[in-house]
Amino acid sequence: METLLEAALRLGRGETSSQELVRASLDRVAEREEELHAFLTLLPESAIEEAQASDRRRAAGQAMSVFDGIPWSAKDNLLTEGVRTTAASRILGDYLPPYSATAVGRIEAQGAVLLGKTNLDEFAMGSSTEYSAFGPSRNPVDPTRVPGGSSGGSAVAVAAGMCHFALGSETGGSVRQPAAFCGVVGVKPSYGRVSRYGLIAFASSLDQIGTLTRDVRDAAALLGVIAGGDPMDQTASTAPAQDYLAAAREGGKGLTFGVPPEYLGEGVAPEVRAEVERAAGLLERHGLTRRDVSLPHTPYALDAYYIIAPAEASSNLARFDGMRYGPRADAQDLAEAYRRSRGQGFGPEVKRRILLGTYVLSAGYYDTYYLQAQRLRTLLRDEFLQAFRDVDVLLTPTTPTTAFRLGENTQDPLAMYMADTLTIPANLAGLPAISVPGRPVGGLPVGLQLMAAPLREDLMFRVAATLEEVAAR
Amino acid sequence: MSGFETVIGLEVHIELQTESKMFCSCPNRFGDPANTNICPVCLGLPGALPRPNAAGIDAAIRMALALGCQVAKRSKFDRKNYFYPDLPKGYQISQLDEPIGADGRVEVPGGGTVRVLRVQLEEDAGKLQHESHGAVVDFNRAGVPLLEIVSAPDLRSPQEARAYWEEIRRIALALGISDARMEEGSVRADANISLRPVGAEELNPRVEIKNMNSFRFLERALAYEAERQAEVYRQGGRVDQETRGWDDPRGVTFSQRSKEEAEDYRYFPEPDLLPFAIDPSHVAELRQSLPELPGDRRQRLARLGLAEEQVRLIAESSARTAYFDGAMAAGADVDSVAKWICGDLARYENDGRFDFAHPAFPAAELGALVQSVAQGELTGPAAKKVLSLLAERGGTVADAVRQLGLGRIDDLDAVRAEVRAVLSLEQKAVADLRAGKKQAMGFLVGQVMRRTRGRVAPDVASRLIVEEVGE
Repeated sequence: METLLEAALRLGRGETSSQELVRASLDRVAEREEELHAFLTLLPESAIEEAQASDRRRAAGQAMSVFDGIPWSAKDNLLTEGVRTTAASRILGDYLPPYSATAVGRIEAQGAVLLGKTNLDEFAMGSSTEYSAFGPSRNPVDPTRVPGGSSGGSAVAVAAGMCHFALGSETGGSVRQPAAFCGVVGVKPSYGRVSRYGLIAFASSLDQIGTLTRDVRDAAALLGVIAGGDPMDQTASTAPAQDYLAAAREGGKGLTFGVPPEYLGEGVAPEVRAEVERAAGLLERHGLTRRDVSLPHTPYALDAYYIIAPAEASSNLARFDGMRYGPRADAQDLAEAYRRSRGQGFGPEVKRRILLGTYVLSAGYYDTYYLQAQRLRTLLRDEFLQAFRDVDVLLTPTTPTTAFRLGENTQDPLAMYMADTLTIPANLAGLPAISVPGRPVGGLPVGLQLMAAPLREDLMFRVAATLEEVAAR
Repeated sequence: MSGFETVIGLEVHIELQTESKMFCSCPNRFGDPANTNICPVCLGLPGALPRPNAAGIDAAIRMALALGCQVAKRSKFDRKNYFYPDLPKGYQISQLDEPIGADGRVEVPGGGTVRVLRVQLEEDAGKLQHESHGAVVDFNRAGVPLLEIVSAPDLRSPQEARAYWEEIRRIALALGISDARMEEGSVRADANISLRPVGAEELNPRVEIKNMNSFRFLERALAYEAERQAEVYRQGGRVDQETRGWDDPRGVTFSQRSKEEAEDYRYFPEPDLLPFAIDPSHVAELRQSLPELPGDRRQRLARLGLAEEQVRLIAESSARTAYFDGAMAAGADVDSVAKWICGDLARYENDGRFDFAHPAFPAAELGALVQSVAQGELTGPAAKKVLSLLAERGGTVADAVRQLGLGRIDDLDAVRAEVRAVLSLEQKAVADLRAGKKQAMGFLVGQVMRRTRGRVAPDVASRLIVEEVGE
């Protein structure tokens, strides 16, 4: 399938037009959307209008960038001014944001054409997109299987050819895991690399906007656009963005990578493990040095995550109370208004996490849970930083298994949580990480994950480009 | 309350007078139409993030310094979680364990030394208003920076609690960090009160009275509550830890929430804001910039020999003290300046005819007026008239004197003519004076003053009357 940079090239040469790209996208949507349910909101009219405007700009020699006229989609927890944004929850009703997320605004400033808002697990809480209040998305490779989540709709849209690129968001693997399941490239930048302003918060200290693209270079180009400081987000790093595209073009030759054994242990399917070992061998053959490192605290990451993330979520989601926006339930008194509005508005998984988070923050439990989890988080981060003194990147599987079937894990929250065990550590430590497709196993995509030190997206992209080149063959 | 000692601690909240709110750039302004100074951040819209206002942090540091606190080298914000319709995010950004200032003290005028446990920075909530059709919220106040100043339980009477609160307010005013308008709710206090047998060390369960917005309410509520608790103990009962409200019209406190119903605020570090370092050199600069504080003002004025009441009155506000200093700088004497300020000018201020902060005429003119009197150029009564005109229209003493035609009549013959005219009209008083009635002299001098509209020095008038009557 055509990448974003290839489409840009054809646009530049006058071989196609934005209208043609958008119409082709809409045709794909018409063919497959009913089955796959990638979108919560589609914007065919405004997309065509924007495409026409883009074509006029280009004809006048005023194309804004390589992104000008390229169709894209945004996960529906990213605010888009005047365009319904739901976070796949009933509690927001038909919420129309009065402003756009910083990342969305930066892409719009490049002239890209927003095709629609994509499906997700409610408030990005889930790993399969089955927890969307508006019904699940399906994996385009095998529609009996989940696309992963929570950025499932974005991964589906990119994988199924409905748009050239998409934004997703991560808290514990929500971009990389669906990228792995759907066979596309997913990037979670370093914490703070992209402004979170306008991203509906799940867990503030873990959330990060990420990219879903058809190849590594597209991801590099896209991150270059959205990365960088933002006065609206104090946690956004003011370090200037690197030239990620140049890094991807350079490749990983001469760099060092490690394969931590903790990421290949129990729970990781043998064929996934084999694929990682195969990829490691290929990297070595293509000029990289392998030096294995151990990350012994890895097994505790999931525990720490399921304390910190729900704790922050319980507070972040308190604002959804039916008082200022979203539907308000009829009630006799204030307490009932809260109970009913929130009781009716949130789905079961969101409630589970709010309860969990409320519990771990309560008086008497804070030290035992939250503080302890934060200590673990510090240990994990230190352990990673230590490892990155020896290696430039770490190579691991993105997920323990390939895409599971719809309904397989919905009755067992713990099994669902396990889908994120290999991606969560990067969120806890704030590392940049990428999932690159390996060679499919049993006809299903497999994701190979690379992690690098904070703000070393350049190293990540260099190795990812090589990995992509050699591994998928 | 014999046999019991009253133990009170106060949490004083002061809204800071910054240009913009604490975590967004909305104007921090009282009195605008409801919900006009709002944005996604202070409304708690999805996706919005706070960003700290450095001016708010500086104001907190200055308050901490003024209260003799240790200023933290590193500080951070925390979330205090609870649901209420005036709280847009479902949590308040506050400070839990790393407040900006800690371990300070305040000398309470007419009271003891009170320890200040902490000075912390937080955001105010919106304003809930109950109307006939239900409740509405004005979010203009949401996100306004708020200082919380927590005292140790060192206050021993409702009067001392009030004096402490007033002193905190004066300090905030002196620093210029707040307009501290009671009637606008920009200063509020929660009080904790318990009783214990005189001599006991341990504290008994305390009652919290929340959200007091007037000094008088506080004093009354605490006095009532102390008496109520004393009565409970006298009856052999137990005082439960609880939150009580103050019903001013009825003059009673009433139970609002028991300890068991108390909220669990589930504090945790605010992940949207970075912990911040406070540079000691910046703190040193802010310390340098501190103005003279009310306590120092009082000491300095007392050293000048002013009466206690004069000290209290002049030191009450920076503006009065500055005016006093301005008049002194013009070379006037202490006693006279103090008398004018505490007398006529204070009265004018009460009547709304004069404002020390924005005086109609500069302090130097008060100095000039005092000197004119001292040098006999103006009589006391004439000076009062001059002052009144200055307060009304501004300008200089010289202009006012000219305008009022109040220049002293220096020509002795002219004065003598006026005296003779009075004496010829007041035969009875003259006779009384001759008969040795001293009061008659006062009357006659008064008549001369009246005739000349105060332009004659009383001692001169008196001397000439003696001469004329004697002849």
